[in-house]
Amino acid sequence: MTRYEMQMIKIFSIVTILLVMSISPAGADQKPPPRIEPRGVVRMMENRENIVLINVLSYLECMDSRIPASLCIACKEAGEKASLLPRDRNAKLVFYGGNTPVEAGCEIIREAQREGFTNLYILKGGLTAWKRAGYEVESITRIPRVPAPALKPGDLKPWLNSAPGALLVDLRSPAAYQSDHIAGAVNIPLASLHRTYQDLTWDRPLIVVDADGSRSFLAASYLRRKGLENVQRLEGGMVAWKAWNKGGAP
Amino acid sequence: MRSLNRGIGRRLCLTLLVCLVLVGIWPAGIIHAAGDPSGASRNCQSCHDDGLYRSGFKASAHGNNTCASCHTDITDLRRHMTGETKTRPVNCGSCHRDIASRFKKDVHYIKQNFQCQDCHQDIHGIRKSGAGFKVAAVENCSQCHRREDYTRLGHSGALLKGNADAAACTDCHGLHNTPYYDPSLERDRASARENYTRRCRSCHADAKMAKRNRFTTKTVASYDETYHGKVLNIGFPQRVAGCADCHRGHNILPKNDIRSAMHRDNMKSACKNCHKGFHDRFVSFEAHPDPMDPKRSPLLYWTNIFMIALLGGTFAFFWLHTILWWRRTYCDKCREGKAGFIENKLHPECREEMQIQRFPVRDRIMHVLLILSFFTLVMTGFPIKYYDSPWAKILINLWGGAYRAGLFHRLAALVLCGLFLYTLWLSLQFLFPKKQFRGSLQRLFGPDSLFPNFKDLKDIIGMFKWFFGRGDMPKFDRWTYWEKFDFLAVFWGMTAIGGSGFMLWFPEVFSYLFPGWMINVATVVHSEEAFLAAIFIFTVHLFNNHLVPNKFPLEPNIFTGRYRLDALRHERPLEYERLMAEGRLDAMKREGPGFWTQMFASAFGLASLSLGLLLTGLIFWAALFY
Repeated sequence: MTRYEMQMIKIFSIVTILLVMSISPAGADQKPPPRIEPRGVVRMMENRENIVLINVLSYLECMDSRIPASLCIACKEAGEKASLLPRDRNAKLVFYGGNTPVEAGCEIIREAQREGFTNLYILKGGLTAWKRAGYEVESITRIPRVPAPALKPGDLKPWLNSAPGALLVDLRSPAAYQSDHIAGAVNIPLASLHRTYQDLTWDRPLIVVDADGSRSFLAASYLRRKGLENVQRLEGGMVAWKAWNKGGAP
Repeated sequence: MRSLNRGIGRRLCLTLLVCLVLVGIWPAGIIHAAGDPSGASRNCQSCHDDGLYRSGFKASAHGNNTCASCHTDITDLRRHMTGETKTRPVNCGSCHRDIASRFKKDVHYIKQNFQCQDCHQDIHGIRKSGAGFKVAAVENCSQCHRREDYTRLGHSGALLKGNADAAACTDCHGLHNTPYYDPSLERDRASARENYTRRCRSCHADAKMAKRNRFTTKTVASYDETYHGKVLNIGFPQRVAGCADCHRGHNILPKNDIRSAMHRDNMKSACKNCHKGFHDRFVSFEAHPDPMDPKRSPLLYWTNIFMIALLGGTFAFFWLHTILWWRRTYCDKCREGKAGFIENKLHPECREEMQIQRFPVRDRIMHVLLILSFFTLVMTGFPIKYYDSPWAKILINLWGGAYRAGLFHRLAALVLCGLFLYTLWLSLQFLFPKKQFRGSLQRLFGPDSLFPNFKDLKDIIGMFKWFFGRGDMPKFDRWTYWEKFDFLAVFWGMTAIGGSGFMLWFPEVFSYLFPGWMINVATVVHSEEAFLAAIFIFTVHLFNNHLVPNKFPLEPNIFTGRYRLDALRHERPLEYERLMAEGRLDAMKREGPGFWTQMFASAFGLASLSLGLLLTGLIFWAALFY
């Protein structure tokens, strides 16, 4: 092989690598929707724009508290509730969650993009920011809160040892559960808890665990209202659990 | 059989009659309820006949109300009784408007969508807690929040034993207005820090409460004198530690308790939240230093005493010197005015416009940079020192906040350090020109040196004699003793203020050389030396060089570089005679400075002078009244 041929191969290889790198992966053309402040949403409402608010939290959370006249379509319910989306593809869809940002792979947002909606927004700060800004919310079927004691991560293992029949219920999505979970925990996502709670054993002590401790209180209250007496929650959720395992404060 | 049917029919009729009467009376009862509490309640209680709704409700805090006062949506009894209408949640805010309004900002509402009845679950039997309010609040909060958290706290023991002064949950976290802070937002973290520090202060700075409970308010006062306290108090808590940053969570226990956040091992993790890469001894920094307590911090105490003595001694001598000088010069002027010969007495050889070159361009630029950096340091540092004075916040906001003021402070400090090092280099060049060591002693104590010599001592004595009319004013050479003091004070000042400043700038690095409590010592040195430098320059230096009656309002030679020949002959006769004798005078003669040079000298000089006097007023105002 001549020197000239070697150089040609090198150039060809570099060009090929650059081309491969420049090709976007599937779905990457669907950029995440821009974020909008609560004030911006209110301005749209005041201007009587064609706006539809979509609560992407679980059904229980949405029915408990939502921006008035919102649709309740959890991220994972794209398949079964996509038909609730408006027919007008020019409608402005504003998706919102709780305190934590709406997850990047939220399926209902992807579905809306696939169906041709172009005016998509994500409410910055979610329902929490909406409330902080002083705007009203509505409760369709509110879950009365029931005192639900919390266990600190450092107390979890001793408590489990003292209650051998206890069941750890991981409320996060199946994907989050599969990536990391506490040993022995079962996955019952909050999004489907209103349908699956009956599968739980009624006389076993339960500990509900969520991502950061902000959603387990509602789940615990719901289960207590449904008749499960011994329900506790893990304070700070998986974030606190991981921090404690790394040697953080108990 | 007929009688049985008749009996059933009678009962049916009776039941229907009762129902009709009830249906007829109920709305009237509801309408009547506002005026007659017992009427409506009796009607409700015919079904809701639990003891709670009878005697329990009657004795409750809401006992004077009727059922319909709260359950305003029940207007159709039939539909209510048959379950056709669903009772809406009670709107407590229709009466408790203020609480409802505050609760809209409460974390329980914002994050968990709590409503009144979630905490006040026994609403029909709720009673006013009275003196036991705090304990009741703890009981209520600990239904969800782990009680162990609170009972670990030092406050809990006292409260649960009946001390109403001790803090309950609501004292620190608020009641119905527990704020929500998003830890990912700097704005929220700052608000949280400010809020919790204010709440701690509300008890720990209360002298009456301190006396009742045998604790000291010095804890707060001493924190306020640290950098953390000053910056937080001036309104910029974003990057400094508040109470809850060290006294974290509920873990407030004696510091020798391993569980305490104040335990040496745990302090490290608290400090690490802001400071990175420090030596373990860094944690010996006193967050509540007391420079007046020799037993607790001996070195800090003696440093403070030394600095006070230094300030006192320096100002006592130079202010006395200044007052006497001003008095003497002013009296001379008055005497001359009365005698009628106040016109300038020019030497025949000294035409007014004839001047000599006193300062080269290099020295003039250095002095301008010195003035700019010094003013920047004073105007960015003193608002922090006197954080509670009314002007401090205005001034710090003009810089764009404490953080930006700190950046300007450090930048100016670097300029000043550069000037200092360059001056040091020039001094070495003066002493050892072209690396010649021979004759350096003569140069050090010679007439062109800024180093003091025996003549300066004689000049001081001579000057004081002149102040009291016991002799003529001493004849000075190139540099007077007060000019030499100005120059040499920079060497001490830069060592003290610069050294301590760098310690405060890089406390983590210096923890590898010194224990953490040296930062407290550095704070005292930096603060007191800054006061000494600023007030000395603004009062003594400005008077000696500009405000003394025969130079008022400005001696511009440091800006123009030129010195009037007549002034040289009168004010520095030895230098004049020396230059004449050495035949160097003619070579130094220059025409007066140009128009723009004079304009700059006047504008910059007078502006600096005015700013200096203004800052002196502000500093004395703060020092005396705050």
